[in-house]
Amino acid sequence: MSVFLGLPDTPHAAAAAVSSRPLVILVYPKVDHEKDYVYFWMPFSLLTIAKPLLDEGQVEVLLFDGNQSDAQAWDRFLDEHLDRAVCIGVSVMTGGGQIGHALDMVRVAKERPACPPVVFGGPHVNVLGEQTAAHELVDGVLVGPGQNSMPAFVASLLGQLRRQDVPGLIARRRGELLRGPVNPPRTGMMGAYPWDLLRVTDYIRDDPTVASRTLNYVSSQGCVYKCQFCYELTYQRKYSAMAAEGLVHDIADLKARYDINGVKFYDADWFVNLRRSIAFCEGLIQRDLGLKWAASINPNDILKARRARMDLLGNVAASGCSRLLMGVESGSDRVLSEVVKKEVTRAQILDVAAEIADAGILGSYTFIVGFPGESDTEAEETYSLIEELRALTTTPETRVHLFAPYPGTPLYDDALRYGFQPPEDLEGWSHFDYYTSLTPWTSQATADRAREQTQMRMAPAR
Amino acid sequence: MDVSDGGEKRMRLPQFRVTVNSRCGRACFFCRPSGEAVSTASGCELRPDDLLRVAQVVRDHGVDSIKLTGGDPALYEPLTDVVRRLRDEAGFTDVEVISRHPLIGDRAQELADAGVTLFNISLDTLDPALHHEVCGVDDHAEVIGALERCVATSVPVKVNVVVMEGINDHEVPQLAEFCEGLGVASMKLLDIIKDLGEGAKSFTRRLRIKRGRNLSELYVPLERLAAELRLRAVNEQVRQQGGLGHPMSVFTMPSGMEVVVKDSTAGAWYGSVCRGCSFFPCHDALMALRLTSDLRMQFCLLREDVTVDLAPFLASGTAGEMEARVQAALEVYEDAQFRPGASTPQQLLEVGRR
Repeated sequence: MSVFLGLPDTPHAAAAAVSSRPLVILVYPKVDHEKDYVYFWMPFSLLTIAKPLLDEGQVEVLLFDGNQSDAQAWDRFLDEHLDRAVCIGVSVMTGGGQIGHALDMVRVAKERPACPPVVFGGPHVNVLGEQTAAHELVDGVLVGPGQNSMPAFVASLLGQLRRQDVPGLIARRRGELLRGPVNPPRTGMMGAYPWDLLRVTDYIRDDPTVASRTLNYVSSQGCVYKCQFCYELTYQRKYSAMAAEGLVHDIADLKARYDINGVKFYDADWFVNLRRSIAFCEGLIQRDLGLKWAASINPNDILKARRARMDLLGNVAASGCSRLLMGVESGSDRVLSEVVKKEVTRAQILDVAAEIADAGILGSYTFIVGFPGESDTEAEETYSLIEELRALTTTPETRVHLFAPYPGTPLYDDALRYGFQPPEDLEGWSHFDYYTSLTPWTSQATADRAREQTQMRMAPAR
Repeated sequence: MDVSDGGEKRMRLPQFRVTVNSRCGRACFFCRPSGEAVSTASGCELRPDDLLRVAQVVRDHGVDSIKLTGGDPALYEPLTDVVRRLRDEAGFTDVEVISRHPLIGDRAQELADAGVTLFNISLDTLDPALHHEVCGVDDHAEVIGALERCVATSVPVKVNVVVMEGINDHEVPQLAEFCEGLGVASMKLLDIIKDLGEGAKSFTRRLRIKRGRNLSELYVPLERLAAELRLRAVNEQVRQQGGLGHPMSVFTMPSGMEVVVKDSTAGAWYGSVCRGCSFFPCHDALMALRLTSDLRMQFCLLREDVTVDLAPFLASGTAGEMEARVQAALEVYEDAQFRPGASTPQQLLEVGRR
């Protein structure tokens, strides 16, 4: 028999009496970002999950963003809301210390007498679901897109669906591991986010490469490319996006409500659908919103537009795009083709970078050194490419990452063959960091040089 | 005093209660037109085949006891056949029939023959005039007669008494003596469900007209009565029925009859469907899964919005759909947690903390 000496006689119970709907708490634990990087993340994963929960109307949703609020705030949040929560959903990715912060938060919640089930989701769970579910603080995990699985999980808590029918669920039940059906990666058309769940003004910042009041935005999920190190592969190259018209409308609404003048897209590749990209640019021009914007682009998107005779970069520049981020990864054609499978050559990269510069857009190029099997000569080719790119006007940003073996990616398996020893459990992964964890074949000198070659615009520069 | 839970080691399962029909023909102060069920249209009756189909699924999940209530089962024409099928086809070991209608006496023997294992008859007073006032029907003698005929079958009979402040609370000792004299196996004292007037249509308007009082004013702390019973009892224990039962004090009288005190302040089980509920903490919480006469599964007495409508799944005939819904409902009870109340016996608090 379990007992909770609950809190219903507290003032919070009186507040709960306003509504008979249970509450779903969604948590985005803090991420320890690299110190010299301008980063102001919004919990888009939570917004994405919250939307169908709210649309179905059975529950209320509250978000807790660990990047905005500290441990004391979490305590106060639990005081106020835990007793009417039907579950807590926690989104975690590998690295950045987020898993460790997640476990700390859940531990605090579980110490309370009426803690509801805690279910984990997110990129780390998508790959290591079973390992995550084995942790004593985790009641279950939801593998795959949360917008499919979380409403189903909540329905099961409300007695409307068997736990075994929740897509992507892995949970211990009566001493056994219960597995729900496969949660397919396709998610369908994305809609506007329920912004009212966040205090949006807290996320507006002065971005030196975009505008003085810039808001981050994610307008798509998934990617169609095959970069072998990339987590997006775990989504099996399924791609979903907001339609251009709806996206322009939402951004116009954000401008009207919060007086933003810049949008920075953090889509894996914002330009996967070229027609959507052009339509978005045309929409911005037509509405004359006076916004600056930035996004990520794959070099193949530009090559594809050329083949289709679309004036992609012309439209992009005319609509106010100030910066394009491109994952170049390597200056070695062998690494590009055999290791990364980037489907582009060094010469093509230089070519598209020149076109970006000619369009008057700041290029921001990212690289990776320390791939399994990468030779010193090949790493030097990367640094020589960086030098060539820096000769462009305007001088682009460059950023060099250390290769990090992410579970679920093809290069993770290569890394194991080269001697990488992965953490064995969730606690172990909680210490894994994208920026500082070294593989056995990566020296401190390599790490130091990568940092030295990272040159980003950090301060507002208008 | 010992503490037995009757189900601590088992998977946590609710009582299974079926409201076979939607009306009883009475209007008791403390009740509502559709009885145990949330608002149900007049004239609704469960088809025996539907009842059996749902009951079979519940039985297959390990629930071996079923309580037929209403409305009033005495007014349910296929009752005897249903009882027989619940025993013979579905395999229920315990079938309880809950009634306060004189007709139950006429049917008692055939029901006993069909396999009823407990008659549960409601009797709130020994005063015919008060009986008439409380329930709106002048048939006290007939109800007593029905009770006697149920006892005569040799099937155990339980008498339910809803204790109401200033109305019948003074009668409890006499009611107990009367029941002992009749050979009743047990008498259960229940407190008023204070929130019953809030969730759906109720008969509390009658109470206001006749007595100028609200339902909540009829609440009697049963601990007060327990103190009196303790003086007469030869044994006292605390019992929790099944996996989710309320802790109840059980007093054994010198005659052997048990007087069971179901005090809502003794604590109850709550689950995920209770989260955010404006009635929390409430009287019955997650004690039982109810099947209503219009084919809804009902988690608690008060909430209409958390019922699960089985009718489409029974009608569709798609294999496994209805079964899946029933299983989903039962899973809510598996995860329930006990919340002690002001009068939870100390022994249970200690069990809970281990």
